[in-house]
Amino acid sequence: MAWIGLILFLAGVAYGWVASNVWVKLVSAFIVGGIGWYMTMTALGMSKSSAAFMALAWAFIFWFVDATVPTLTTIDSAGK
Amino acid sequence: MAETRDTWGTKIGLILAMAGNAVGLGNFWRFPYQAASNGGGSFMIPYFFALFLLGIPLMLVEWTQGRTGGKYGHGTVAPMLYLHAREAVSPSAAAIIGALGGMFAFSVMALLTSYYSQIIGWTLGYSYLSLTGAYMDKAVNTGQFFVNYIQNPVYVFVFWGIALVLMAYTVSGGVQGGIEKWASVMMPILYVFGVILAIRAITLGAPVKPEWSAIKGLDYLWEPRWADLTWKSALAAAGQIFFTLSVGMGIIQNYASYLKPDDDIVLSGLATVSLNEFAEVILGGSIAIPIAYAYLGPKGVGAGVGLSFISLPNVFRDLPGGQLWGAMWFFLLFIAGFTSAIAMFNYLAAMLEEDAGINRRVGAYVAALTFFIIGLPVALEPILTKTADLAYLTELDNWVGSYFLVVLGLIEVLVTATMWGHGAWEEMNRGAYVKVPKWYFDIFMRWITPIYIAVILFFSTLDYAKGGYFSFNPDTLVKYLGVDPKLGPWVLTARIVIIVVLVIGFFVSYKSIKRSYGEEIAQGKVLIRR
Repeated sequence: MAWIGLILFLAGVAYGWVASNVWVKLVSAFIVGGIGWYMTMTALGMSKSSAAFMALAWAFIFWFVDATVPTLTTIDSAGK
Repeated sequence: MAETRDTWGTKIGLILAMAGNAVGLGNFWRFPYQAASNGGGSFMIPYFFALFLLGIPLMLVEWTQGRTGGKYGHGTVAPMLYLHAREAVSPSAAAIIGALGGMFAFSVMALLTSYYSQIIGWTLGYSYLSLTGAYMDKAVNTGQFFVNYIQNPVYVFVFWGIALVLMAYTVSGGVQGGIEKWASVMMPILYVFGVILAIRAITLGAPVKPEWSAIKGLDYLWEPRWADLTWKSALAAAGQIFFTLSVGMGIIQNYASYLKPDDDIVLSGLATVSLNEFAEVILGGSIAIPIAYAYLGPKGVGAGVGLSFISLPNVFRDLPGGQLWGAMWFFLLFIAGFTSAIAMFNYLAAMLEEDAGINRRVGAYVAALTFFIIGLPVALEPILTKTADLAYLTELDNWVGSYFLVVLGLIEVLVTATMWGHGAWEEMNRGAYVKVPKWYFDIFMRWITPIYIAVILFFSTLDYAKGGYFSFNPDTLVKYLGVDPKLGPWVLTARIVIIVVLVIGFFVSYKSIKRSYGEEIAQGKVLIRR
């Protein structure tokens, strides 16, 4: 379960980085990534409530990075 | 002057430099123990509230002030605040507001760097000592090792000196050729080291006792302990946001002043916040606490500020390849501190360039010498008194690193958002790929953010008054700081230095405004527009 969660987390965060639509980024990084990290941490022995808080915070941060940094780089390379 | 100012080469270079500015020592050693001691997972609720209501609005306000200032050839806070304040009040009133803001920015920059640069020196020294295995022998008491380090003039001055010279060298290369170039190399290294250390920390297992595992450490950090969530922890969360984002210091404005007039500041500001939060919550929250918990248990986690320099060395010597892990940890702290401190160096270099006509190459080294002189008492106190209470440093940090930031933050948001209003909103959104909604600006940035900061300031002031922080009696001062009574004169000296720097800061700032806008202050109307 830990590995499945980790793969979900990494895939969600990575797809959130490359996707161009902000809602796709949200679903991918925040929801899929967050669920994946929750699965990983609970499988490793973390309590459910701690894992839920941690996954929520991590998912938000990863979505925030995915939504801002690649977009800015795209604008930069387009020469704006 | 505006035509000859340096600019950032690329947006990604700017963002890495800005992230370097924001990501500092606070992300890796302050955040974990603040979160762990203030309710764990439940600390994150007021933390994220503060991020949305204080951090992001202030970051956008500071980027706006910086870009406006740069357009007029300024890299320091006083004239930037003047330019925004004159949109709402008379030029003479705007000059006073600008000088007040400039005074706090000058004091934070000068005093904070004087001790921050020494901590950077410690991290460099500990990187070296980790590699050479100086504390790897289990007979060495790591607490005493730290005391010996700060009382050893060779260690203190050599590594502090190297850090100061390296920072001056970086800043002397200019914005694009120095800061951006170094940040583009150092920040990826910081993130890579952080990820490696975090993976190592999380996968440590339970090497000492079955109930002390790295995952239990994360459990301790993220467990929502609602009983620990108090007004005090909400204040701690707000303070952490100020500290971690480097807002209320004037250095974000300084970097933003090298933007081009139509560069996007909204997305750039948000990207800076996101990269800082990645370094803090994801990396900072996954290294020190799990490692300390796995080897030292809950008591080790409670070491607070001593976690990095006293508790973790205990762990590194038990860890296979500990010399390397220790060196990597302290070098990570060094990079985090270094990339923030060069922003403060650049602030002083810009000030010397704009107000005294000293060119940047010389100005950067004059800045290093200034920080060395102001920081001397920090270095000398443990060496001369053979104590380890660091009373002078603690006193500076109580005011500069915790209080002045909030005061400056309040002035900034009041001037740009509340006073200037929609003009500032339009200025903020100029050239923006994603625009700040008007409702967000009106409700949050104009009202909720300043009220939130004012409430923090009110309760902080109340705490300071109750704690005896406003006293000038050396006996009271040592009592509230909890330091050796013989250090009273050092605390008093710190206080006198703070007052002197504040006074100098006010006059330097006022002079800077008057030099550029004396005519319009005299005539009482705006004459210069770009």
